[in-house]
This record gives sequence, structure tokens and C-alpha cells, in this order.
Amino acid sequence: MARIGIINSIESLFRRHTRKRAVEHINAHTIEEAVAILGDSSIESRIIAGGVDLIGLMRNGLVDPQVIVNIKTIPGLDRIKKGEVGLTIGALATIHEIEESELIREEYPILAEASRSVGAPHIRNMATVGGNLCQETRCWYYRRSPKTGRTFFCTRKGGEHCYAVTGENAYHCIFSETECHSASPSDLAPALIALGARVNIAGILGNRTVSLEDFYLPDGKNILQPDEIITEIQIPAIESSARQRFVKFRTRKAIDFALASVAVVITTEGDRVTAARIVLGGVSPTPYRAVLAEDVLKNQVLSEEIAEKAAASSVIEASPLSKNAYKIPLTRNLVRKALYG
Amino acid sequence: MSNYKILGKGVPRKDAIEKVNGQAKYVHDIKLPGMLYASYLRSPHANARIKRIDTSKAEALQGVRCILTYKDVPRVHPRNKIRFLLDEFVHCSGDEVASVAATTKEIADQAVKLIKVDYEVLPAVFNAEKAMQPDAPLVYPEYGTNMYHGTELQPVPSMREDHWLPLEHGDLEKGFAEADYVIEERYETPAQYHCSPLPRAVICEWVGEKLTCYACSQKPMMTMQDLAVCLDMPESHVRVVSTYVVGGYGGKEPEEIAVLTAIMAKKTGKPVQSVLTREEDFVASRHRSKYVGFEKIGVKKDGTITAMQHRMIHNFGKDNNLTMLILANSGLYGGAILYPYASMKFEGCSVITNIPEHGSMNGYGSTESVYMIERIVDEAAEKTGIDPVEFRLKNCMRYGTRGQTRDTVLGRQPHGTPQIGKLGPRGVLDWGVVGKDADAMPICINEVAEKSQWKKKWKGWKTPVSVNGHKRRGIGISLGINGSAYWNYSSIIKMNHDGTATVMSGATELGQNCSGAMAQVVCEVLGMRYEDVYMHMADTAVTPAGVGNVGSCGTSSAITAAKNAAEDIKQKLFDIAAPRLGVKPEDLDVKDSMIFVKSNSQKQMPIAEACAIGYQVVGVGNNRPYSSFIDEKSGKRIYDVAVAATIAEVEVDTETGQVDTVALYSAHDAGTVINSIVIENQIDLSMVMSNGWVRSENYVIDESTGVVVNPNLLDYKLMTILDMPKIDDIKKSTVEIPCAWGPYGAKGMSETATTSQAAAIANAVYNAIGVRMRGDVITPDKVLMALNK
Repeated sequence: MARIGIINSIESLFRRHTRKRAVEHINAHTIEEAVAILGDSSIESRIIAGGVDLIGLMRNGLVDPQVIVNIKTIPGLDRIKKGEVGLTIGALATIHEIEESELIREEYPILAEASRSVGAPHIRNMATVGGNLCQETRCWYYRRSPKTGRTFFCTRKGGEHCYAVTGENAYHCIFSETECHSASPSDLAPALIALGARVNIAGILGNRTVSLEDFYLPDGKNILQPDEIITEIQIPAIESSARQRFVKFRTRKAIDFALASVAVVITTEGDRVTAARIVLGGVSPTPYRAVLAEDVLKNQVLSEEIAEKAAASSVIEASPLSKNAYKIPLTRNLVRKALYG
Repeated sequence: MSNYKILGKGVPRKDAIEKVNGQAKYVHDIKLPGMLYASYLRSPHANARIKRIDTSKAEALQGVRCILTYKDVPRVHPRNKIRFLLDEFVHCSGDEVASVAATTKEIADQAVKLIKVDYEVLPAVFNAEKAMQPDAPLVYPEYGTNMYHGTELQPVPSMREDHWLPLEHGDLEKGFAEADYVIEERYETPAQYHCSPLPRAVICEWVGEKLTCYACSQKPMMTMQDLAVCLDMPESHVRVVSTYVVGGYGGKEPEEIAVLTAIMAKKTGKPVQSVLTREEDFVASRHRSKYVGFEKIGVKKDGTITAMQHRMIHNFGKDNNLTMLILANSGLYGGAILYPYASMKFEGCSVITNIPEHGSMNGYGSTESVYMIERIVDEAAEKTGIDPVEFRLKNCMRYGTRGQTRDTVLGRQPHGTPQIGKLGPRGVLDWGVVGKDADAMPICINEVAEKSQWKKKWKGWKTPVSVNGHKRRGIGISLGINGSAYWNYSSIIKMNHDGTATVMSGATELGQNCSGAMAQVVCEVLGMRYEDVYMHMADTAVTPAGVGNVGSCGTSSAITAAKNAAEDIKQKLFDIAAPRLGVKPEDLDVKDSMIFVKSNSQKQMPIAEACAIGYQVVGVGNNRPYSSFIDEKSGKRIYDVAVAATIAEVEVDTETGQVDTVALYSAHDAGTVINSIVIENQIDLSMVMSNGWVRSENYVIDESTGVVVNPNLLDYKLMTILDMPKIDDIKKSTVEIPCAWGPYGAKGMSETATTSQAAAIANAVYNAIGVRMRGDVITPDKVLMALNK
């Protein structure tokens, strides 16, 4: 019955949109309904939850949906709950809810800390964790509003140039495997990757689960198909003795994205490091696993000297652009601080 | 304490309630019946010729009522600028190409997208120093050079043949020869956006041949005159209403937008509203321009400054609304008056480039030059080994230091007054003096030194206040100066028969509470209650001549005129009451809304009664000419400046490059305080503005396209409350030595406050980290790179 209802609503939408260009707002009540609309390739559609990123993208002409599918009306998608092992966070949980969750503060302080660093209180009240993970880069060439005359058809949009390479790149990446030199904007992604989080994805053909690290493509976009949405984030259990740190640096102290951020989760046995995950934000198009730095730590006793060595290793592979070499000492200092500060 | 009844008190604003409850209607809120909405097509290219423009598809869109391109508008130069209203040539990315009026904003936006333009892209130049090179592309080929030197409509008589504006005093060569140390450095200052809470907006409506323009403008009379000139109509037929204006900071004026909107309204026979988006406001407004300065100072071992040379270049952008006043300010206030240099030479040039145009912004010209000068003065102090506070006390201006007005530097008249001060050879002025009020300068320095506990915190050159791991604290001082513009201005007060007053002034209420302060002065003169004085501001149909609010002229000029009008009323009321009370007018005084006989206060008449008897009591106030303010001691003319001093304490994180301003101590020369709350607010504004200017804000311009890449409030780093010192660590003082020209000796001080902060922060950063920051904005990336060199 639900399916017929969906098909009817899609058809009526289609009729309306061939006549007049206006954005239709649909409240989805089930995941199935949402993905069915999103999967209809005849209609350009986008999901809205907090809308923090989507509205900006629409305003700047980067996306131009005919249909906006509101998923806030799907019940139960905002729960933060303890699982048999670890924790599950519904995609609709707001950043504020994560920041305030006693459970998260106690067991995953890194996540509470990362949440607290997002935007400002009113943004955190609106923004959801799903949106935070899926947000587009803040590259000013990519995002540029047509209101002031000029936009840039850059590599990220299918063009030939990354304008940041020859232009104003103080906020751009120092690690990139792709033509795009944008910087990953998410604060939650590095923290969640450091925690080894996985995301549950729903689509027309069913559900799948991937590690958050594999969720991102090298250019910072993600693996979601048009019909897919993130429904949940699963975080594995963590030893209470593990070191969790999130450090973010930005030009101003609120309403600002990271020039560089560092998320560190280290587990130890006795004094020795058994596992270390160091993830950087704001320095690569996608969250960056500082594997060389992690290697330095393995089986070592964490000391100032080892932290410094790991910090130095974290930026060994960096190749800065013309105006962001400062991100190398900055990142190194932040990594050291996160490891031993 | 003073005997003033209401002056100096922090009385609440008159418009507070209507603004808080939303009854105050800003231009953005006004919706007139049948009103159309405008949108603008903006150039993607920084320099281009429009080969072909096709508006047919846009015209065909349902709801579109009018489209203007350069083919449809008169060949006029709004505000006497270089370029035409709309032109076949565009001169910056974001320049207006066409305007559309439609029944909804959405339709207008849609129509803009349907206009097809073929451009011939021309070479462009964005950097001022590059634009000065002989082989640089010309922004206006017909102008012949990128060095601005005025136009026929806007001559600059003092301009040298090589297009540098000069200003000199004393024998520079001798000055440098006498110096024990000569320091020469290059400095930069950043560009800045006003960031008014509301972007620019205007509504135009015609009734017959008469135009009413609701403009978010801080210079309504100039808006009115510009509309009259551009539309070739009498000034009497243009009414500009700027009742509620939000945050000007120098930049609130619709200019071209007003003219285009008026034309669209005329063509369609409907009212038209233009409201810019935030992004448009960034590129279509007139920002604080970027400066480069080559400063050279000569100083003796004992700390005496013997010579000071300034060569300042500022990026004019594609045009301006200031016509060189910015350079005149740079040369005059910081360049010539701040220290009574035994010899000084200033040369300044404005370089036209293909970036958005510059314009007035708080303390324009002075803020930039003082930022550069107070950095090299600090370097000179260090060379001598003298404490920077002592160095400034030894050298700073005081009563009797030379003075002049900015217009004379340009060789022309200040608003409407006859030429003042004789012009010698170009750049050499017949100097007057600054008055007794300028003795506030050393007092301000001592005040901030004491409040900040300078003696305790200053550990000597190259020694930070404290070092705690990677956090280093530093302290630094800067002086500040700007004009406190005394200009011609007029005011009318209409007495109502119930004894209330309606004050009419061309000044604008932009949130700074000029209207409240004006009401206080009128009350003080007329012995009336604050609530009995009603302010009617900035409506050119009824308010008399006055430039509006620029150059800190609100108190110095506009309120002076209102005081004169109140004095006129007082005389008229006394003339009415005297025969009825059986005395002479000079035997009378006023208090508590009563006229009374000084020798017998029982003999009295309510002001209301005198107004009713008089029936037609109207007061007119016009400002005296400059030439009437003569210094007793020297016999020279007194000129209008305000001064300030700031000490900043910063903490620099050497691992991130973060600069935190942790404390600010500032003292401000206010002449006489009219309203203490207003002054505190103005100082707060200046601190936020100058902190942002030196620590985080800047126009980021793509070097290959000239595009401003950060025209939004995320990428343009306006400070947040977390980036400012805590309230208890901000100490503000005022110094009151009445000036010669202002009402009760009060003077405009807000812009001066802005000039005094930037270098204090830069000098404090030096104290903290031992690296001189001579560039523009002191952002973490620059600090980090400086430390990692």
C-alpha cells in the first residue's frame, strides 16, 4: 500500500514539475518512501534534514532540486542508543544532541569535543550527524555564488582546472591524490573514523554497511548512490583507558571550519601503544589517516619525544600549495598536542 | 562636576522601543502597493567590453517590467565618478551590467539569468603597485593612466603633475641629516568590508515629476543631489527619506543603485525596490582600501623625531565615492599632525585597478596611515631603546601643534565654505593650529599607561610580558587621530504650541544615537524635558542642508547646528516673554520648561505659553565659518581633530599562530561627553572593527581573475564575541577638554577610536614574539610562517 502511495505522489509531482519550476517539499515517513523518491532518476531530488548545507548549496546554485525530501519526519532516526557492543547514532541526531549526550560524553568524549567545535549553537541545533558527514567542501571557488557575476567550473564540477592551485588557497589542502584541492570540512568525520565507526546506508535495493573511512572517495565526495541515505552510525566499543583527543584550529573561535583538525584514538596495554588511529581534517579533500604517524606509535611508550616524532611523520607526505605551507607546522603542532598535551 | 542638566548623562535612545519591537520600518521592510523588485546582472570579468547584449528572453519572461542596459540610461557619472552609470565597458568582476525590475524578486533573478552577454575580455590589473607599472593594462584607457588625479567634475587642484598628492612641512633633508638613526620600511594594511547588518537598499517612487526615494543612506542630501544631477531634475523635486538606517560605518549609500532604481520606477510607473544580497554588497559596496606605505623616519638618540617621510599607495579599485579625501586624511592627520615632526613629507597616490571600488569607512585614510606610522614609530623607539610610552609622550602632538583641514590639502573647499587657509606652492600649507583640546593627547597616553599598569608589564624591548610554554604575552601602544569634521550644516527647530519641539536635521540616525545626543543638546539649551523634543531626521524635503553622517561630523557639525537653532529659539522665546514679564530679554533664563526672570524666579512663563503666544516660533541654526575659531595664543585658526591612545595586550600561541587580544585599554578625547552610553558604544564598535581589521578580516582577491573569493560572512572572518577580550578586560576612558567648535565643546570621536587600535595590537604581537608584522592582516598563517622562517 505504501508503495502505491509513493508512486502516485511521484507521478503527481512529475506532472506538476513539467508545468512549473518550483521546489516541492515532501515529508517522508519511512526510509522506503524517502529512498523511492530519491531513486527516481526523472526527478532531481535532494534530502533535507537540518538543511544547514543544502540551503547554502541551493542558494549558490550548486544544486537545483525539483523535490526536497524531508527525512526529519521519519520516526526513530534520531536516536542515540547503546548497542550490544558500542553505540548507535541515528543519522538525524543533531550535533547538539551528540554534544550533550551523557553516554557520549562519558564513553566517547572525542565525539562530544568534535561536536562542540561545530559552527555555533544555532547551527548545532539544526545540523544533523548525517548532514555533517555528507556536507560539501567549503572551497570558495567551488561554492561561489553566481550573484556576484563569476562562478568557477572547476574539476569538482567536471571542469579542467582546480582554481585553488593557481589562486587563493590558504584554506585548501596539503594532501591530495586528486585534481581537486579542497579541504574536508567535517569535524565529526575525523573523530568517528578515529573511533572506527561504520555507517548504515539504506537504498532501494536494500541496506549496506561500510566503514566511515571507506565511505569517502579521494576527492571528498562519498559513495552514496542517488537513492541512498545514511540511516545510522555505529561506533564500536572502546576501552575506557583509551586516549581520545580532538583538536581543531580555525581563524576565529566560532562559526568557522578547521584550518586543520586532529582526532586521535590510542589504546594501550600497560604503557605500550597497541593501536593508534590519527585522522586529520581540513588538510585533504577527504579525512586523512596519518598512517605513518600511527606506525611511529605502535608498541611504543607515549612520550613527548615519540609524540614529536609521530607529529613530524604525520606531515611527511604533505605538499602544500602556494599559500598554505603554514598548515604543515600547524598540523604537526596539533598532532603533537593531541598525542601528548 | 559640570552644571549641565542633561548633558553627559547616559539617557536612553529615543528610538529604542520602536526598533526593539519591530515598528521601525527599514527600507527592506517597506512594501508599497504595486511595488516591483530589482535584480542586477553582474560582470563575470574584471575588465571587458560588452560586444552584444541580448535581453529578449528576459523581457519575454512573465512578470518582467523593465530591463536597463547601458543603452537605456543617461551618460552620467553618479557621484562624479570616472565611469558612467552603466557602460559598454565593465571594470571589475561584479560590476553592474544590467538591471531588471519584475513583479517578484524571484522573477527578477530568473530574468537576470536569461540575459545573454558576449564580452570581449580585456587584460586586467588588480594590484596597485603592478597597476603603476608603465606596461600595466589601463582600467580606463580614455583616462590615460591608472593614477587617479581627479576628473573634470571632480578636480584635485593640489595634485602634482605626476599624480602624487603632496604635503610638506620643514626641511626634510636637514631632518634626516640630523638624525642618529634612520629607519625605512614597507608596510601594508588590509582592505575591509563594512559589514552593516543590512546590505544596501533603496526604494524609488514617482508621483508626476516628483521622486521620493527611501534610501538606506548615511548621506541623504548627497543621494538627493546625485539623483537630481543624474536625472537632470531640480533638487526640490527629489525627496530622499532615510529615517531608519542601519549601521553605516561610512559605506551606507545607494549611489548607482539609487539612480538605476529611480529610472526603472519612472519607466514602469511603479515603485521599485532594490535590496542587495550580502554577496553583492561585498562587491558592489565601497570597501576600506588596501594601502602600501614606504615609511622613513629619522630619530635622534634622545628620542626626538627629526624627519618623517611617507610614500603611500592605495588601491583605488575601479572607482570611488571619496575623491581623494582618503589620501588627504592619510597625509594630514597621521602624516603631519600626530607628531609635530620637525620636518615631514607626504606623497600619496591612488591607483585605479580592476577590483571593486573603495570608499569611506571609519577613519578612512587615517586608520590606514596611523596603522603604518605607529608601527614605524615603534621601530624608531626601539632603536633609541626608549620605552614606547615615553617615546610617544616625548614626541606626540599637543595644543599648538600644526593643524589644517583635509579639503585644503586637496586645494579645495570644505562642504560649502569659502576657501580657508592660503595655499602655498603645492603641498605646502598655510598651517593653523590644533586647539587646547589637543592637550588630551598626552593625557590619553598617561591614562592608558596607568590603567594597563604599563610600568609593571613592560619588561623592555625584545622581552615579552610573560612566556608560558608556547603562549607568549606582549603589550603595545598606539596613538590615534582623525578629523572631527566641523563643516557647514544647518538645522531647523519648530516649536509646537504645547511647548514641544520638532528638530529637523539632515543628520541620519544610523544606530549611533546622533538623534538622541542632538535632543540632549537642544534640551540643555532650552531647559526642556528630553521627552518633549522630537527628532525629524534625514528627510531632504524638509531637513535643511547637511552632508549626513560622515567624517565624525554628527556631533561636531550637525549637533552644533541644532544647538545654534536652539539658541535662536531661546532668543525668540525671550523676546516674546520679556515684555509680558516686564523685563528685558537678557534678564531671562529657562529651566524645567519655564522661562523665568533671573533675579526673581517666581516671575515666570511656561515655554508652552510663549510658543502659543508667538504662534510661529521657528529657530534656524547655521554653523559659523571655520575662520571664526582663532587661537588666542598664536592668532592662528583652530582646526578640528580628535585624538586617542590604546594599549593592547595580546597572547600569541606560537604553535598555531593564533593572536588573542586579551586586554584593551583605550582613552579618547571627546571634548565634552554628551551621552556616555553613546560614547561607550562607539568605542566598542571601533574595537571590534579594528581588531577584525588587523587580525582576521580581509578581501581575498583571486590574482588571475580579480574575483573577491570571500564575499560572505563565513569566508570573510568577522570577529565573534569569543574573539574579543572579556568585558572586564576592556577599559575605556574619555578625556574632556572642550573644543572650540563643537556644541558645549563636544566633538565627534568615533572614527578616531578606530585609528588607535590596530598598531597597538601589531606592536604587542612584536613584543610577544620578537617578529615585526609589517604586512596587512595578522592572521595565524602569517604569524606561523613568520615564526617558522
